[in-house]
Amino acid sequence: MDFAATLADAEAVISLGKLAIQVGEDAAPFVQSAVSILQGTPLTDDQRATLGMQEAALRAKLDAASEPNDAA
Amino acid sequence: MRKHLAGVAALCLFAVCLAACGAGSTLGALSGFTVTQSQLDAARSSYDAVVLAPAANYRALGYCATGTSATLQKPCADRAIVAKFVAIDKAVAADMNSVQAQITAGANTGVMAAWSDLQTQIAAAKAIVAQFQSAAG
Repeated sequence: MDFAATLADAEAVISLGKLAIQVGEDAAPFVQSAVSILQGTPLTDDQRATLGMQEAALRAKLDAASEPNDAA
Repeated sequence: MRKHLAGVAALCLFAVCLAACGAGSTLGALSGFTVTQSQLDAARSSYDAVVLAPAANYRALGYCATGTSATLQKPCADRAIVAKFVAIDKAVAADMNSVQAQITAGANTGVMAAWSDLQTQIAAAKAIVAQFQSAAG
């Protein structure tokens, strides 16, 4: 067994997982709202409702029973 | 690379924010506890950005086939990790709804316990993300 190659492969796979868990355009509106609040501008009711819908979409994505690309 | 660094900077910012929220709850407990709508909004936005969005993206990789792990050719999500995220997210959502209901009703009597629970659940959720990231080294 080529341990160096196996290790390199394992590290690459882990990096893919790390990338998946860190990167996401979905996070952008939440970053924006948090920064706005920290700067002293509270959310309006409309903004809060919009974020709530985006949050619900993410929650549905996380809790999806299955996806087309799920392996058997 | 620049995008990645911006992401890291954002995570640091939210870590500071969440720490500040925790400090605020301690001070509040000492002198008549109240939670403002902005405090809850900040905690919710931070959680959504740092935990929920990444967890949902991880789930979107698709589950690994039973008995297999992710490979370069077929990156996939571990069922056990997704299950942890789903469970902790349900707890966080319940606590957020509880705090929101009390803020909306103007009832601050029980908000301290609900806010404390929320902080604990968010910390636990962040720990799962951190555990995953430290494993990635």
